[in-house]
Amino acid sequence: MDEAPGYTDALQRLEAIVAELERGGADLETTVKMFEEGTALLRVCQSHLEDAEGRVRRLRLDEAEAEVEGSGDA
Amino acid sequence: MYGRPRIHHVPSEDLLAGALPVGRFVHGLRRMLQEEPTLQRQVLRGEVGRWTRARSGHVYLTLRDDDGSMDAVMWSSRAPPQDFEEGAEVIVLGSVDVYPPRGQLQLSVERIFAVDRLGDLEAQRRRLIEALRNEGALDRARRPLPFFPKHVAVVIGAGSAAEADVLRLSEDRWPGLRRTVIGVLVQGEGAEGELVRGLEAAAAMADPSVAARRGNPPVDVIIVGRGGGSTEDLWAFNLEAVARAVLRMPVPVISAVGHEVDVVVTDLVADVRASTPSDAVERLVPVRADLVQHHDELEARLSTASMRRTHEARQGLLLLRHRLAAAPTTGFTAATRRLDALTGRMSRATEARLRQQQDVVNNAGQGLKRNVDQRLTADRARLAEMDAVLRSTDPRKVMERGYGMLHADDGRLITSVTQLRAGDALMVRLGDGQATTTVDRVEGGEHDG
Repeated sequence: MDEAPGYTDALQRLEAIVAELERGGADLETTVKMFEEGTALLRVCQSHLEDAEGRVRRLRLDEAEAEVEGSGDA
Repeated sequence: MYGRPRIHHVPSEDLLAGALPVGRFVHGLRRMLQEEPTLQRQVLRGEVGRWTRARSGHVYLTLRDDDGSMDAVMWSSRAPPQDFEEGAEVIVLGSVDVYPPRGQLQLSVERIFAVDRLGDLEAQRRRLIEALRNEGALDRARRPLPFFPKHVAVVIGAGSAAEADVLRLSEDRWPGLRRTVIGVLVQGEGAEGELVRGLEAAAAMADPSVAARRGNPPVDVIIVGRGGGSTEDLWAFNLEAVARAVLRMPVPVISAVGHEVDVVVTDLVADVRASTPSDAVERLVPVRADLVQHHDELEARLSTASMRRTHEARQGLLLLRHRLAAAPTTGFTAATRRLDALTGRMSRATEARLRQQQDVVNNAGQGLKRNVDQRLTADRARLAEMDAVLRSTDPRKVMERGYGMLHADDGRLITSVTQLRAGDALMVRLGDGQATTTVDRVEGGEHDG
């Protein structure tokens, strides 16, 4: 999370870039830079979505406690 | 004729085989009663008849009113610390049960409150809320839910309908979403402790290093709750220990207890109050397909807008060129001139170089021609000279003046009489022809042959 922006940050920046590009008027160099940044942000957003996928686990209380044993919290 | 009933004969084998052992019958009865929801976990009102606390810690009591009575038991783990007086008005939460050794119908009581104590409980709840308010727990800044969760912990009734609802609904909205359900008791004795422990376990899973041990990202949100029930059923969520556990959670907590109308203390202290467990899912889990569609739209718009800009730039350049030609301004004129100058210089440079090359070729050609001509002239002159010389020395010229040449018959030129003998045939060549002759006599010469 330190290097890659969070989902909402990335999405907001991406939306801002798209709006900016659609408004037009940026010079060609800036346009190309924004396109590159937008593409990178899109990849960030997509990878965040993939990060949410995993297993569904149904644990009894004792199983859950055994799993976190030694964490100092339980 | 009245007497003790007597058994006149033993029953048939068939009858024996069909007879149910009484113990099994009692256990079957017990199971039937336990599976009948209207007989389980009922809130009953009455007064205490008998109250006996056994050495084992179990309490045996009778609950009665004007219309009836029922024996009841509170197992030691559930028995209140204080004894109730005979005649005390109480409310109990209990389930009908059979005590198999005696086949006795009894009420198994989980909780008992003196009627005025119910008021006490509510007063207790109000004091708790007041205390939490004074501590600022009710006004604290609520943490926002993640835009979407990467690992949800759900602390909920083990195997409950609410658990099934949460799992199904979240799967519908986000297939494959990472979820960890921690099944706990949510009502009755032990619910308070299990809810606290379940929350603590969920909190521990929010620790990245703990979660990583199972290869999971840390829990980033917790749902704690249960399905609908009576006020009594939901009471654990009004207890201080549970409320304080919610407040300790390191990640946002959604309290999802009962139905819309129920408000419990955990609702007041959680980061988000959901009206039901399903409502919690709807608030927490976006529809994944919507996000994917949004991404796709942004991707398309990004490409379209960028392409259009590039296209515009290309068009702009073309347009600029036309405008420069049509309506030159000073700056542009200078630029055009410079461009023209450059182009001119370039083409001139090219032409000059071409011309230069041609000159070289031409010069070389001319030089060559001159050389050849000169050579030819010189040669011609020399030829004329030579011709004159040749002409002057040509023997035929001499012959033209009346001289002839003698050749032997083998063609040799005869230059001396010594080459001749009488009778040799000779050929005489003159300027305009030849004739043959024979030698009659040879005179002169050193040769005497």
